[in-house]
Order: sequence, then structure tokens, then C-alpha cells
Amino acid sequence: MISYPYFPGCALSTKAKALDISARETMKALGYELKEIEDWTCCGAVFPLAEDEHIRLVSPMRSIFKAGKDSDKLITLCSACFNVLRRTQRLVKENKVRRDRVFNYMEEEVPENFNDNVKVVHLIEIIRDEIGFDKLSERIKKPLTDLKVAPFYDCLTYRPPKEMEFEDPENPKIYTNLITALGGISIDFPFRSECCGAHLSVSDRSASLDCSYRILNSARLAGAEALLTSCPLCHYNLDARQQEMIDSKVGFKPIPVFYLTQIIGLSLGLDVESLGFEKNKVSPVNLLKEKGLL
Amino acid sequence: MLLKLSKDIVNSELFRSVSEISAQKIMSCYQCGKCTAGCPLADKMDYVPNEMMRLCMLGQIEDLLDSKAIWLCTSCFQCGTRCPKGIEVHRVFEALRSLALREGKNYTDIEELPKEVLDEMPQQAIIAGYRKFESLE
Repeated sequence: MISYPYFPGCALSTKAKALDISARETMKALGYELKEIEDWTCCGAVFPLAEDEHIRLVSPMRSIFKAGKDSDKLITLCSACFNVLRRTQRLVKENKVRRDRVFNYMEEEVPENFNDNVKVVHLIEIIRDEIGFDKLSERIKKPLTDLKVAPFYDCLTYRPPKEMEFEDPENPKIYTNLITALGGISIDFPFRSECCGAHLSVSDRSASLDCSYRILNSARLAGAEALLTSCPLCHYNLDARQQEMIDSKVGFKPIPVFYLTQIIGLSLGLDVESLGFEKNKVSPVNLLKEKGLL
Repeated sequence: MLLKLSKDIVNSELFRSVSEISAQKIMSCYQCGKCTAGCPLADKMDYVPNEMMRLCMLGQIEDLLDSKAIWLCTSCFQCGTRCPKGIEVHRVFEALRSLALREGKNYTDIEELPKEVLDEMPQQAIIAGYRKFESLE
């Protein structure tokens, strides 16, 4: 069993529990232990874009230092945490001026021989690069035959591309390759990399509802039966707010939205309790029964 | 829209602040409009992203600090990803938001958010939304 430090983040510990539980169980089935780092703190949720904001880099740096104690990798799954942690690690490593500022704030919190090369890694990168999609498909017990899943690429995992170095920003393929490896049919759709409205669901709820509606509608028109994402906020906008769409958009039909690891776990034949489908607001249970997957 | 232009306005302290906070070469924008074409919220903005860039270049920062557009930006980074001149447009908007917040301009009142919404929404949204409130001191 290979063990890596794991940063779950606030959302996965509370409101996106289905993503956390299914990730741990899926990785266990694949021979990996996600070892939660001790006393982690919130990553800050938003990478500070202003050049004169240094204090917001302190919190993510703490978790990176903790991971660096016994590994050169830090695994995370929430796209906001991934975005903040990966960009922070990169900035602090490469920009001497910003690095000095952050370290001045942290004083004795900076370990003496800290590891400068901790790579912040998304869980799907472990599956792609260490296990390999071809090897993954050899291990599946329930292929997602006939299940048409539209991969939705959440902005924060791969933009800005120069800092994230995750995927081609105009033509991301990683989830498409994953769905195919799991035996399903991946449905490409025009709005696959469009913003879901993100945190506008706090301040401008109707604006973000329109963004999410456009995405779901586009996926359905392309023939999808479900969507796939790894971001708790996209999941909230695309899944939990569908009731509002039913109430306000004529002709809207609900469509289930899976978390990344729910669907991998399902095809690996994991116990259905560890996948947390009951936490999805639009239940995928009927669809999965129809396809003989439950 | 009537613009007052003078050397002092174009090269104002506010313009220099936006340039410094964003760390972007705003003047290199050549108005191709790719940022606006990719912006998922452009249809709801009072000034679309390339207009905001143009107004910045003309020193009309005060107008932008009062606009709705800067608050509708979700920082999805599409504009900066597609800019052929390599301007991280999203950083320019963040600089405008920062300036507005530092001047004490609020966009949302947290007291007005329904409790059931706050209970359900992932924390990242609430924290990101917080950055649209004047810093609480």
C-alpha cells in the first residue's frame, strides 16, 4: 500500500463528504492510502491574485510544509484547494521576493530544512500517471457500458494553464479518457469548460443559475445522461440548484451529476455505501439501475 | 458615455495602483475582444471585459470601481488564458475589486444571505464571496 499525504479541505470534510469518502475508498481499492495531514488549515479557497497580498499565502504554505515532512507529494481533490496549493507552492518556490515576504510572516513556522519540491498533485493525476488509465481499465469489475457521461472540466483545475500545467486549456481530455477507460461513453459538449457561475451563488444567484443551466442544457442536448466533475462548488451549482431550474426554466429536465471518484469507485465494484450517492440532490440511482450498474 | 480625457486623468495615481496591484501591462491591450468572447458572464455585465480594459487605459478607474461588472467576474481565468498579448485580465479585475474594497465599497451584505443557502453552499463559495465584502475590522 503506497501512502501519500492528503489534504481534504473544508468542503470535503463537511458538505462534499461524498467526494471525500469515495476518494479514500477508491484509492484504497487501487492500493493507495490517503493519509490526511495533521492539523491542516483552510487553503484560503481563493488564490490571491493581487500582487501585494502576501498573508493569504501563509495558510496554504503551512499545509505544504506539513506534507513535505515525509513526502514529496501532496494529494488533493477539491479543485479550489488544488488551484490554491499548486499555485502557492510554485510561486513561493520561484519568486524570491514573494517567498521572503511569506517566510517573514511565518517566522519560526518555516521548518529548517524544508522540502522545496513538494509537488501538489490532483488525485486524477495519480491515477493517470502512476496507475495509468490502461491499467485502471483492466481492474474494473463493472464497466459503465452504455452510460453516456459528459465530462465537465472545472475552471480551477487547469486554469491558468501556465501555473497549473494540468491540461490543454482549450481541449482538455483527461476526464474523457477516464470515462472511456471505465467502459462508458464520453459525451463532448460545447460548454464542457465553461464556468458554472462559481461563488456568484453567494452574491448573484440568478446569474450563476443561468451559467449552470447553460452547461446542463448543453450536455443534455449533446446526448448526455449524467455529468462528471471533481469540484464541490461546481457540484453544488450543477446538482443542488437543479430544483431552482425546474421551478424557473421551462422544459428543464434534471440530470444526475457524479463526483469523479463516485464513478471510478462504482466501476471498481466498491460497496455502494462508500460512494455516497444518497448525498447527490439529483439521485443517480434510477439511471444506474436502468443500466444494470446497481 | 462622455469621457473626460487629459494627461493627468490617463496617468492618474489610480491607474498606477491598478497596474501595480495587478502587475500587468495594461497598455499592451490591443482590443481584440477575445477576453469578452470567452467571458461566461459578459452578457450580464455593464462593461464587458475588453471595455473595462479600454476604460482602464483611458484612466476612467472611478467609473470601473462603481461598475457592476467587476463583481460579476468569477475569476474563472478564461480571459487571461486566451489573451494573445499575455495579459492576465483577471488580475486587472482583481486589482479593481481590491481598490474598491480598500475604499470601503461593499457589494454584498452578508446579513442578507438566507441561512439555508449558507448551510448548503460549499465553504469555498462563501469565502470567495467574502472577498466581495469590505474587510471586516
